[in-house]
Amino acid sequence: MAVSKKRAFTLLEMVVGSFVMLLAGALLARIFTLVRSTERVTTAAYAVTGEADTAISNLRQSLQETSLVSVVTFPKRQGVSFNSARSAETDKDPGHLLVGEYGVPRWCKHVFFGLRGDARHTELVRWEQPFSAAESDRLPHLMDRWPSPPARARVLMHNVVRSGENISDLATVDPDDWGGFRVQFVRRHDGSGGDYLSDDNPRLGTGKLQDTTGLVELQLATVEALMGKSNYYSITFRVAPRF
Amino acid sequence: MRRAFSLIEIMIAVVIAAVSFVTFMTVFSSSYRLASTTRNHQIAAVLAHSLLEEVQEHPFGAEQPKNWEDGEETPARIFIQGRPVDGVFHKHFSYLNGSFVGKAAPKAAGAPPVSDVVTITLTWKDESGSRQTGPARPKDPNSQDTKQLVVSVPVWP
Repeated sequence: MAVSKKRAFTLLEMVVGSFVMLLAGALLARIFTLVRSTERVTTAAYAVTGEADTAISNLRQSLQETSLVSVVTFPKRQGVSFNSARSAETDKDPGHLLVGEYGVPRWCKHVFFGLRGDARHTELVRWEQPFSAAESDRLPHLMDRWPSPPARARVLMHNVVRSGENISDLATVDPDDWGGFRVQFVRRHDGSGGDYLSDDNPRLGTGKLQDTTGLVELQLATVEALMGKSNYYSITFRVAPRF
Repeated sequence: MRRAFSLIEIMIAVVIAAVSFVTFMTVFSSSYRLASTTRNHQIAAVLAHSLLEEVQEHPFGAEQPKNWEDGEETPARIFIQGRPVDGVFHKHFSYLNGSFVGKAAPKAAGAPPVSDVVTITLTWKDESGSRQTGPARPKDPNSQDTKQLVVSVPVWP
């Protein structure tokens, strides 16, 4: 009968082997943890530099092309509307500014930015509505009611903070009724003093006239829960409507 | 007959494994830092745009608004995985001759209006890369900021 010459592992070999495997496992776990946290940070950075940047550019350009007097904010709908003199976009024409014979814009439509969604997912959308027959004089017109966003509204940003959303792990963040999208008018005490914000359009005759500036301040905020913890980003910026 | 690994073989294997691990760690920690650097640059650009809009709206010769004085700005609040990673930015306005904010020397009667150049300097602290702040922010030698964004815009009456 043939006897195998292979011997079993000694206790010392087993202990050393186990120790080496534990060490290798710990190193691998550390690498995977690092990879995962880097991926999360990079994803969150993308949300900041990608989608939010696109939304900011779109909001800034649209507001720069409007008239401050046409800007109306809708607190309970978390939205803003204003006039635009840009022609409709077609396959051959990306849209151009319509100008009257005296060089003034020929306003032709309302532009809306607002929040749409449900208790789980909220997004910032943009849509337009051509002037009605009663508004066809091409002068600035205020929107007096907030229409529902159409299904084909363009989505600019996902995961926008909902109105009054409770972000449990971020004690210092307390979203108000506006949620993650708010537009306010910048007022300045006697022209050069401290700034304060108002929901009322200064060009419509509310507040002190000398406190008027031509600026609006916008706030955007997104939140995304991942593995029970939140990635939150909010940014504030100002725009001056040119007309 | 099989022989065991020699000491030199084990040492070489350990060195290779260590170098690989350090390389991995360096790549991912660089990626982490660069994501933060990119984010700060983007926020600084948004802040600079915002301040340029204020310059656009400022009446030539009017007094400088209070919020253009040197100070901290935190235009963004950021939490990643529940941890705050807000960046603090410092702004500084300077002028070629000050006429934009009503500080130029009085001009002779009939002289043409004086134009001005507004320069906005934003600085912030960022651990990665080299120090880039130059003489544009000389007022605060103790500043810990290492990065800066400078924007100049001509203005006229």
